[in-house]
Amino acid sequence: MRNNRETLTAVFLVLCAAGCATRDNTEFQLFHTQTRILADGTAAAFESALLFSRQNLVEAIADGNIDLLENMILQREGVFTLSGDPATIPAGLSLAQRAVREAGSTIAEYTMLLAAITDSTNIAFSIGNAGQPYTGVFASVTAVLVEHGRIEHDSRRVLAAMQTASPQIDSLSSAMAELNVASANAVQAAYADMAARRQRAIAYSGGSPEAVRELIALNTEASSLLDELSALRDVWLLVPAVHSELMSSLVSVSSSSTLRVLTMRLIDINRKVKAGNE
Amino acid sequence: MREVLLDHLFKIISRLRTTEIGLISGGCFEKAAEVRKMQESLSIIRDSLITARLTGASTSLTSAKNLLESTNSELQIYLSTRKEADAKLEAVLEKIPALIALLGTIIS
Repeated sequence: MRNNRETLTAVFLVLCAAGCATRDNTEFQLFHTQTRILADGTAAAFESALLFSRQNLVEAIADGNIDLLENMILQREGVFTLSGDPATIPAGLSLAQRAVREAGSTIAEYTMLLAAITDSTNIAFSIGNAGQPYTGVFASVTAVLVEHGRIEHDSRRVLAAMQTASPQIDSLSSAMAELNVASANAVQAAYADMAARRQRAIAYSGGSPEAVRELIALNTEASSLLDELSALRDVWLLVPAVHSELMSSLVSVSSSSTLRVLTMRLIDINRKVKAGNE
Repeated sequence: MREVLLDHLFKIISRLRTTEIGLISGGCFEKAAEVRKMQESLSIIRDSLITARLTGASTSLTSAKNLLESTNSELQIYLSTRKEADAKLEAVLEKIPALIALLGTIIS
């Protein structure tokens, strides 16, 4: 779990520092992969928090909290399920988990679209690879100029979309972070209740080693859940910065590299023409 | 504000618990039971604050998601038109005059 957190954070920081000067879309592909992993990881952590919280609810009822049980039965219409009551924390966590899954899908789709669009087809390469008897500096230059136009077109469109998405990514990232904190609160509350029950039992019975071990195990479980939620929160807060970096890299790619490509292509054509003449 | 309140609640409940355990250890079972009831009442408030926080954050997340979805729709449309243009290009690659004319349409 720590390794996953460190790897995720490291990858996101690398993406921040990347500022690509090439025309490939590797950073966009990486952004897509990493946000997928992050979303899936968050949903999984919420599942753990939900189970922990439900355990507390079951114990509360078993412990004699009849009011709690009665409230839940009165609000029930169909089959009895513990987390069906909208007023309980497990129900809140269920709702949160659903929201995380849906948001995760949407952000994955967004990053996938960015990767697909920035993977622009190179007309000049297509022409070169077509294997057609295609000579002529004029046609090649036209193709590359058009490609330049297409790249500008692509970059402008993608940039515009990313600029629109930027505040949306900010909101999404903040909401995810907040939800992680709320989920952590839920874990803390469940732990407080379950620890209290165990301490009470230990105090009444005089403290068996078994009971103490159980309390320590509970503490370990709660701590590890809290660590995970905290780590996820940190990475979600990095997402807007990575998104901005990708936007910057797009801007720098547009103008300078296409001129470089144009020059290289001209040199290439000249070389082929010379070789053809010999 | 809500966060501060929640924080206080956690701390108070924790102190009450310590008090309760102390009372049990000291044999004052009735007093201990009273302190336990206090903890439980405060826990109800604590839990409703947490549930509200979960619900509120879920709603914000869903709103943000909906906005991003509309951006995705636009990007999807753009990607489709781009793919159509690419397909057309590949088909007429050997005809230079036709190619230049077609490329002209795509730029504009």
